[in-house]
Amino acid sequence: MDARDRLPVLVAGGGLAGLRAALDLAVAGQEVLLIEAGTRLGGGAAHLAALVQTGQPVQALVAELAQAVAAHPRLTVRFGCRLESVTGAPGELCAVLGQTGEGSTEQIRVAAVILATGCSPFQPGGLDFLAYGVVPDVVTSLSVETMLAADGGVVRPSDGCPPRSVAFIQCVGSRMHQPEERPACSAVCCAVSVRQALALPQARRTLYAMDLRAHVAGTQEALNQAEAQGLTVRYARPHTLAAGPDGRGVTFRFIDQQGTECQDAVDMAVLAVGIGLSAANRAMLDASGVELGRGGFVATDPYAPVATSRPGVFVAGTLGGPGEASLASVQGSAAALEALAAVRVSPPPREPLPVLVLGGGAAGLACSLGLAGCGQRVTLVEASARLGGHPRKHPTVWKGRETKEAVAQMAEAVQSLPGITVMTDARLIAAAQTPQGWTGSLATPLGTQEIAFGAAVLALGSGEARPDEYLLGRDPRVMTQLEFENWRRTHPEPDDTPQTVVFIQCVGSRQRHGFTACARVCCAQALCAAVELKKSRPGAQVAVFYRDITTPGESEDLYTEARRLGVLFFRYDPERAPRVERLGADLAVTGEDILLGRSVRLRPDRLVLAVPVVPVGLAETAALFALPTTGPGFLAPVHPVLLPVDLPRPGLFAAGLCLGPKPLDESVAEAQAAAMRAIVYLAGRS
Amino acid sequence: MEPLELAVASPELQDRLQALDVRSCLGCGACASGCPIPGTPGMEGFDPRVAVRLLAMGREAEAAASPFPWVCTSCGRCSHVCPMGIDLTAVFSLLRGLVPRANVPGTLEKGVASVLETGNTLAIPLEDFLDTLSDIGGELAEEECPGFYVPVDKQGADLLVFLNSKEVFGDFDDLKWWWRIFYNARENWTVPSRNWEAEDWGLFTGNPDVSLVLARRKLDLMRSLGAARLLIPDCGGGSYGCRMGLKTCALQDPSRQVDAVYFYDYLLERIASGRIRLDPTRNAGRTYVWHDACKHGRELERHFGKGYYDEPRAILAACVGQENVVAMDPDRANNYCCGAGGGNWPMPFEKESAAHGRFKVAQLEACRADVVVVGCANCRDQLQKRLPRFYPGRCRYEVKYLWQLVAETMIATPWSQTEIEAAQERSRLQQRHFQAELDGGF
Repeated sequence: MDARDRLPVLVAGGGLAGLRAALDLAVAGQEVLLIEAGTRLGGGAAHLAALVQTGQPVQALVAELAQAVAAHPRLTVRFGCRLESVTGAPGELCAVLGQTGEGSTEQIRVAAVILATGCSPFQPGGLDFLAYGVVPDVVTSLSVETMLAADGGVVRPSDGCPPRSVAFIQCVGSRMHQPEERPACSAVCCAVSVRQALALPQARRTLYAMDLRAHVAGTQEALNQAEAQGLTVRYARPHTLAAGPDGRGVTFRFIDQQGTECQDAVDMAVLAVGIGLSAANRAMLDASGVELGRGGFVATDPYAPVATSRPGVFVAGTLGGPGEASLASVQGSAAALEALAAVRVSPPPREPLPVLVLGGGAAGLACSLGLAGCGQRVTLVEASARLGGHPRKHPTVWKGRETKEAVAQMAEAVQSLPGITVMTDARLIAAAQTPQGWTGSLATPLGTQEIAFGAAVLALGSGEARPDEYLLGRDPRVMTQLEFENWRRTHPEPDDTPQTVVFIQCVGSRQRHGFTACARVCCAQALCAAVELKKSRPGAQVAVFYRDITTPGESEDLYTEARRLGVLFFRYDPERAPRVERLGADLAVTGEDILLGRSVRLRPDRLVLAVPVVPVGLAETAALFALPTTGPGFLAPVHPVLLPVDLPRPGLFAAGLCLGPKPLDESVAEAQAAAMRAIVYLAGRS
Repeated sequence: MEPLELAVASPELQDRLQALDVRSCLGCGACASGCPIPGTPGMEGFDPRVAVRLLAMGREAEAAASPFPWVCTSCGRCSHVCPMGIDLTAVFSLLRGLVPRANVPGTLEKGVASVLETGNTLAIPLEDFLDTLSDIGGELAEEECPGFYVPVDKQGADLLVFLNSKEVFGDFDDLKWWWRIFYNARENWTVPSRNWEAEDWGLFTGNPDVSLVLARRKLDLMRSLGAARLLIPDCGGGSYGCRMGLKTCALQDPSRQVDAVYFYDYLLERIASGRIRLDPTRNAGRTYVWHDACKHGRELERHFGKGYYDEPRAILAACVGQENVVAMDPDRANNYCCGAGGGNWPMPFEKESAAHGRFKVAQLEACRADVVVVGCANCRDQLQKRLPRFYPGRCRYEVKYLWQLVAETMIATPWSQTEIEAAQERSRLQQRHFQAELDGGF
C-alpha cells in the first residue's frame, strides 16, 4: 500500500451532504475525517420541521444517519473544528483547521477534500422596507420552521398567540441585485412556504411571490392542497411593512397585477429568506483558491457537478449552489465517488461481477465512467444503435457547454476504457436475483445473451409528452421544445432564424389532476432557446407565455439574460390560457398582458410548447425487477431525500430522467451518486 | 379592444433604455407597491411597473404622453426596492425628456427658457436683484445685524452662495435666515450678480443638457470669482441637479472639479468650530421631527453613495435637544415624499401632488410633532401651503427650515464698531460699483 492510501479524506461540514459523503466513503473502505464547526451533526436538515418533498418529519432520519456516521470505525468526527484553507496537489493536500473560538490552527495532510459547509440564511435587517427587527411580528421562514419543529406550535412574537392570518413574502435575499448582489434563486423557499402554509390550516394565508416555483418534487401537489384550503397566491411585493394597532401584527400596502391599490393586515408576516455563502466560507474558499461562479457559490461544470476548480477538492450541498435536501444527498455520494477516484493509487481487488448500467445516455455514460474510475468493471447496455443517448432532450447549450459535444466526449471516453463493456442494440428482457447478485438475459442482434452482475444502475432516460393542445401535430409550425431544438440544430444559420417565436410554458404540466407536477426543466430549456434566438437575430420578436418562470438556483441567470435581450414575458392564468388559432395563413397566439390589462396578439413563425418529460418504456424494466413506480410512472427511490438514487431492491440504483425530470448537471450528479452507492453496496457485501 | 400590436423602440432610445437596464424588469411590482400614484384619483392604470412595461413593449410614446412621468415626484421609493436595481427615477426623467417641449406642463419650460436667457427662471433683472439684496439686507442690518450687507461678486470669498429665485422674487424674509447665519459666523461669503439662481429646472423637464449648462455656469463663477468653496444649495432641484451637473462636468473635464460643501456639512462645521453657538432652551416645550427630502437622502445615496440622514438630525438635535425630537415612520431611506418633488410644486398637478402627500399627512399625524423641520424649499411649501388646504384640520404642525431653526436658536455674536464700519464701507463701494455698471447700460 502506498503511503497516500493511508491519508484520510477530509469532509468539511456535518450536514446532510457531508454525512452522506463521509459514510459512503467509510463503507467503501476509506479513512475519513469529518469536521463540523458546530456542536452537532445534521446541519440545516436538523432544523427542518418537515421535508418539503414529502411533508414528513425528517429529524429521526437525519439522527439515524448521524448515528451511523458516529459509529463507523473508519470515520473520525471532530466538532468545533473549521476548515480554514486547503492547498497542495491532489493525493496530498494540506488542510488548515481552526478550532472554533480559538485562534490556534493546525495543519493536516489529507488525500482529498469534500467541502460541504453549506450556506447561511440571508439577514433581512438591511432591507428597511421589510421592517425586520423593527416590527415584532415580522419573522423569517427559519424561525417559523424552528417553531414548527418544536412542540409549541407557531406563535407570533408580539403576544405569543397563534396567528389567525399570515402573509408569506418570497424572495427575500434571493433574485436581487440590490442592495446586495444575490442574483440566484434560493430554490427551496417557495416549497418551504407552501409547506408552512399547509401546516397553519387555521390561519388565513396569503403568499406574495414574484414566481411561485414548484420545481421541488411534491410542491405543486402541496400547493394544490393548500389552495383548496384557502391559500391565496398573489403576484405582488409588499413595500413597507408597519406594525398594526398596539404594535401587534403587520400591515402593508401592495399593488396587485391589475394595478389596484390593496392593503393587507395580518397577525404575522413571514419573510422567506434566501441563502448565501457566509463570510467565513468565502474566506476559506478564497484562501484555498476555489473559484466562485456568477451566483456567488462554488463554481462547477455541468459534466463534473461536484468538482471544484482545485483538483482533489470537491463540493456537495448548498455551498455549490441552492438546491433541495435530496440534491445534498446526491451530491454527497457523487463527491464521495470523485474523492475515491482521486485518492485511488492501486486498484482495489476487482469485484468478480460487473455493475450493469442500463442506458447509454448522459447519466449512463457518467455512471459508467464513475464506476470505471474507481476500478469497477462495467457492462453498459444501450437499447439504441449508439451511445450518447438523447442529448437533444437537453438544451443545445447548458451552462456554457455544448451538450452534444460534451456527451459525445463522454461516449468516446467510455468506449476507450478497458473496464467497460459496451453493448448497443441490446435490451434486458429478464432479471433474477441470485445469492451472488443478479443474472439477466439480454436481447441482442446476435440473439439472447445471459449476463451476471453484482449491481445495476438504471439510467433509462425518458421521453416527451405530446398533448393534443395548441394545434400540436396539426400545424407544422407548432413544435415541442425538443422538436424546436432539433429543428434549430438543422437550421443554424442566422438567416434561418425565425422573426417571431412564441413559447407557451406548462403545456400539460402543473395540472389539478393527472400530471400535477411541475416539469422542472422546461423553463430553463425555453429560455436557453429564447436567448439563442435573440443572440442569433437581435431583432427577432420572442415572447414567452408562462405561469411562473421556474429557473431555480443559478439558472436564474438565464431568465435575467433573456429579459435583458428583450424577450417579452406574459404571465397567464391557467383559467385564461393563451389562444392559438389559424388566422388565414397566419398562426396567431392571442393572450393577455395582465399588467397592462390589454390583450396582445403575435403571429409567430414557430410556436414552441413546453411539454413535460414523461417516462417512456420504464414500466417494462420496472416490472423485470419488480420495482415500484411513482404516480406519473417514474422509478421510486427508497427515500426521496435520504436515499434518492437507491431503489428498493438489493443492488439496484437509478439515475437521471427515469427518476423524474431534472437538469443535466443533476442527472450527472445522480449518475455519479448511483455509481458510488453501487460501490458502497458491493463493498458492504464483500 | 383590439389586441395590442407589439412595437420596437427607435435604436437611439433602445440604447438609452439599455443603458438604464430597463428590460431587466421582473414585473414584480415592488416599485408600484411603494409608489403613492396608485390610488391617486385620476391616475388609475398608472404606476411605475406599467410605465416600464410600456417601454418593454416599445410603446414609449404612450408612456411619455401620459401624465405619469410628470405626476411622478421622482421620490425614488420605487428604485429603493427594485430587486434589479433599475434606476426608475432616471427612466421617468428620460420619459419627460421624450415629450415635445411645447407639451411640457405648466411653466416649467418657460422657466427653463428664461433661465437660459436671463440667468434665472423668473427673469428678474439685475437692477431688481441688486435692489432686493440691498433693501432686504438693509432691513436685516437695521433690525439686528448692524453692518450687514450682501457681498456681490466679491473676489476670493470662502463661500460662493446661490439663491432661491422665489425668495428673491417675493419671499424676502426667507432670505434672512442664511444671512443671519453668515453674519454671526462672520462668513467670508458672496453671491454672484448674474446666474445667481440655485434651482435647476432642467432636472424637472427631463433635460440633462440644461442641467449641464447651469452647472457649467456655477463652475465658471467659482473660477471667475476665485471662490474657495461652493455651497451646495438647499432646494431639491438645486442641490441634486447641481451635484449631477458638477459630476458630469468633472467627468467631462477633470480640471473643472471644484471644492463644494453641502449646506448640512457647512452648518455642522460651523457648529463644531463654535462659530455658530446654539441655545436649545429657546426651543423647549415642543416636539420636532425631521423630514428626509428624497433628493437629500435616498436619491443622493443611490447616485452619490451617501445620503444625508444623520447630519440634519445632528443639527436638529443640537438646536432643540434630542429629548424633543420624534421620528416619522418610515423615515430615512424609506421616507415618503411630501408630494412636491420633481417640480410638482410649480407644476399644474395640484390634486395629484396633494394626493401623493396623503402618506406624509398620515405620517405626521401619527408622530404628533409640533414642528416639521425640512431642508428643501419645495417640501416646505408643500407641507406648509398645499397639504393644509387639501387636508383641513389634519395638518396641525408648523414647518421650519433647518437653517431657520439654526438662525432662531443661534446666540448672537455682535460685531465690533470697527467691523461694522469696515463692512459699511465695503457695502458703499459695492453699491457704487454696480451703480456705475448699471448706468453704463449693462
